[in-house]
Amino acid sequence: MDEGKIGNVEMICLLVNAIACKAFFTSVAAVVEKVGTAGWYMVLISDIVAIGVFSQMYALSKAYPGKNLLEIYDDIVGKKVGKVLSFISCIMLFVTVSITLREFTDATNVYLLHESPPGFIVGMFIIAMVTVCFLGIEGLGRVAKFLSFILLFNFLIVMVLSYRTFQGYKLFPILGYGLGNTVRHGIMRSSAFGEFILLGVFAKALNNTKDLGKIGYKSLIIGGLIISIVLFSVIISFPYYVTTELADPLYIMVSLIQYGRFFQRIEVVFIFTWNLSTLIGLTAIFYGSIICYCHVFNIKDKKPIIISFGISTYISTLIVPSISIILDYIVPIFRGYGWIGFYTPIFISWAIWLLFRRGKQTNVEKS
Amino acid sequence: MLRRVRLILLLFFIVFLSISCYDAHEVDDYAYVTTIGVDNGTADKWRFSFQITNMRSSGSKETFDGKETSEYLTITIDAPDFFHAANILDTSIARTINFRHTKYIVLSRDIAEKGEFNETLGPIIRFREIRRTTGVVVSTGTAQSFIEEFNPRIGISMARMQEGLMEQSKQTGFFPEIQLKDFYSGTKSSYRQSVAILAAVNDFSILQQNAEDDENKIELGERKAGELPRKGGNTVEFFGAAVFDGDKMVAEFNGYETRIMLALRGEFKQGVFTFHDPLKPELYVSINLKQQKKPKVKVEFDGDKPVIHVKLLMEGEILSVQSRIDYEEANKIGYLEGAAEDIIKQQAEALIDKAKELNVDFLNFGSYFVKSFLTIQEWEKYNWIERMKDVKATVDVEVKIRRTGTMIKSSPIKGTEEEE
Repeated sequence: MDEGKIGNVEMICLLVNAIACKAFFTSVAAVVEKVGTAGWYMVLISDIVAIGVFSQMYALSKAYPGKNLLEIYDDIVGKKVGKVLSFISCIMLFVTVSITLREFTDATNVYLLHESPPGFIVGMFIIAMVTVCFLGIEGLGRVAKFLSFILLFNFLIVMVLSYRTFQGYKLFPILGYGLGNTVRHGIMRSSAFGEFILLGVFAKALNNTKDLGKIGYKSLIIGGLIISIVLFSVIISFPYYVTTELADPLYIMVSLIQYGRFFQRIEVVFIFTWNLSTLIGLTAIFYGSIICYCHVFNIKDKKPIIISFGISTYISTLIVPSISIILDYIVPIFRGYGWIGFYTPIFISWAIWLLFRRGKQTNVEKS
Repeated sequence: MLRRVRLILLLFFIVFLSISCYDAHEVDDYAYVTTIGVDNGTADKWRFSFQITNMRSSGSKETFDGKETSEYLTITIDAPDFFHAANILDTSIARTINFRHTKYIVLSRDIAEKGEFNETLGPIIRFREIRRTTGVVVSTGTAQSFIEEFNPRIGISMARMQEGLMEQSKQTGFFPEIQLKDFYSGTKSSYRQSVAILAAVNDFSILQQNAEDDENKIELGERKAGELPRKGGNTVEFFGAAVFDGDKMVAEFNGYETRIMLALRGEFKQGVFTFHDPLKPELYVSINLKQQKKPKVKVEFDGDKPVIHVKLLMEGEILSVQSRIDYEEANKIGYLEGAAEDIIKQQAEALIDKAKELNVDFLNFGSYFVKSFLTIQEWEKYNWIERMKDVKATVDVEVKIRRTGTMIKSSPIKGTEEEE
């Protein structure tokens, strides 16, 4: 199966959607629950932490030009341990898809398709993901670039139109539940940006792996800004004690847009953004997990794996019996400790490279 | 060839799955509720009333036998819970009750005073069909009688009348434009407390009563909903505000108080102020005042006590001068501005005193004081909503009359009997 090549902008679009699509669901309320009114800049702290970790990944990529992150793991820590690290990344990406897809399904069930069984919604979504994955990274990248500008425009439009619900005092007390608490949660929840590892996984699809740094930093900055804008607009629209009650604060905020008798109920515009962004983002993560899996088990033909991954995603998405379990246990644990799974392989590889391999590489270069 | 067949099969499959049969409904599968009301029940704990649009009557209002069909119908049911009531009603109206187009939630005064909003209609905010932009109204009578009368007598559709009524808050300031999101968050707020629209059915009996003597005469703006001396038109009227402490109604405001409350909150758009002519007090002057800017507010603390300085900025246009005194002249316009400033200041100070007396922050002062606190813990420990009674407030009012209408002076009336 030919992977194909994608441009830098296409890769940025993929990553931004993968990072930002979570902000459409319950994460906003969870952040406000933890840090109160400081949520909008807590995200920026998380983003800075993620940029720091990305810099380590970028350093590895520069040290091993032309290789993807999984091959770099193999080179640094050896094939066996490298495969373990790749498998950890695979699991993290797979779980991200399952959790976000479940959140998407429950939100769709509540607001749009009340009578459709969750299995139907998940099934349709997975069919779309699988279809795009069959087209490979190239098709996915083209779709992402084609739609992302429209989605960004829609997103900005609904944010601007929500201006009337903004009341500045709701941003106060400005430090939320305290600066220390905000920084602590900012660091812990930096896994919200953990999808940047996709850039390492998809590195060989880039025309030049030297561009990885530019793409990564831009994606993380844009993704961080989008999530921060979402949180800012929600916090300035609803008092903190109300935001924590809402399953999808962003959707509810958009449903409040009302300009006279004619211009109202425009949340349908937002639903378009919400659905497509989630589809692009989750497909990228889904495809990333498949690549990791195929690398771990040396599988060349991804097609059968795509279908079996689709079925596995279907089951893992629906296996949790209720949204309460997702909100009370799974999402908090994943967001709070997800950084361990996302960042540990990079930390280990980077540390070993720094301590044992870098010197050798320098000597080779000198000689 | 095989690739094409696969593609066609795939497209067919996708189209087949995308027809959304599960959630497909015709418009007339639903009965659209425009207004919901709650009273105390007799057969069960609560009495819920639903005003439902009769879609058969849209367009022609006459049936084949010449009888007029109503554009709406009101259904009342006693039940222990809102959704229980709605679900049971589905069995009798042969359609599913739908709340997507609900515009008002009406609480009877009894329910509001007992603080039963969060037991009766508060929980429905969770339901996807309830929009948070729905208006919240306290009816001085029963919610059921209010809903039965809540329909247009002038030739417009009911939906238009109900939406148009809310818009009048911006044109008059005699009642607040309160949506469910504001009311609901106010009941849980650490910044402020809730208000709702005060409404009533006017039986037009006040107009027929003997004229009160001058001393006992109540000014129009000092009346509340249901007390306006008028006859004809819609029987329901929105006039004044209901003030809540938590979810318990603790006071009712008349039209003037409501207008000043909105001005102090920075939510007053425009309204006609009519007051005694400063140079000929037996006659009246009307000016249209607009709040072009939010109030300028400074807050500080005197020890533990909150101190607030509010400056209201209003701009106006002369509408009528009964005395025909040339207030348009630059050296006289100050009389009108001064008179308006005095009245607004007096009313604002009286309202702040009332807020202190009730110990309820319906003026949103908390939204200014919160900026002095760094963390939510400090703010919640200070417990602002207990502090309104301690507030020291000063009010300044600046009124600028920018326009004089279509006239720049008023010439005297000349006749054979008397000359001005």
